Amino acid sequence: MNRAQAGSAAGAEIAAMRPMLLRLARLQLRNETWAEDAVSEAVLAAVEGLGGFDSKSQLHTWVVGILKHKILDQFRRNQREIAVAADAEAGEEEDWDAFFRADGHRSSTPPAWGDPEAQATRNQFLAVLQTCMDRLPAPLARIFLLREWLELDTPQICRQMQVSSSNCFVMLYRARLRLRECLDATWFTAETGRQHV
Amino acid sequence: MSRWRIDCRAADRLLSQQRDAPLGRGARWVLWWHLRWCDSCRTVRRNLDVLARAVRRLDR
Repeated sequence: MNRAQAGSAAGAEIAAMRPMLLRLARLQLRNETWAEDAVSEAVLAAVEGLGGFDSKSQLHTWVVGILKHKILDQFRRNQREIAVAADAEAGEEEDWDAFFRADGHRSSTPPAWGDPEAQATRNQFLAVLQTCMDRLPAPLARIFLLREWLELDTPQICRQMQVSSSNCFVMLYRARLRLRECLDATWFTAETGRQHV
Repeated sequence: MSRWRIDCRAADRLLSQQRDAPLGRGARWVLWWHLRWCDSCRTVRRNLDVLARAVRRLDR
């Protein structure tokens, strides 16, 4: 395969990644327009940068890396709107009674999730996780993925979301709590720790 | 409750916070002590590890 053919094949591969990239951008940005813009910019940058890229096995990682930068660009461009939503979410009262009794003990024993990574059902687990992510309020989903997927540190997240560090910790905690609740209910049973979907 | 004892609600919050920033020495110690005897909180800690690993796989 000559250089032009290799470039064309990689370009087609990048185009085929578009649905996956869009899914990720929607999850992180929770806004259709911003997600479309981030993906279009990422695909364009990847195609333009193909000349300097020659490791086909890492194409996926490379393109996802570009998308992550484009997502952060969207955060910067839409910072005001994101900050207003985050501020409103941070001010929400959480109903802890569903999780803890008045004496501070848990209302119910959490089921052990085992290791879904090692199971043949890993992709199904990721699909359920995505469903649970979709159920999170947008500011909680954004802040959680900034931390766990984009792996920003907390001061960077506070800057992106324009929230105080204490609100940042509170929102990250709420996001994890709600995801755990959703995964407990959707994927596992307390009795067996087994998948039941 | 003694100053060295925390309940599951406080432990739950610290388990999350620990993933985002280093805990102070006192908080780290009371959490460690709580986890020694609390099976439920140890389960939550393992589940949080699973959750974090799964999220990092969302792009694969």
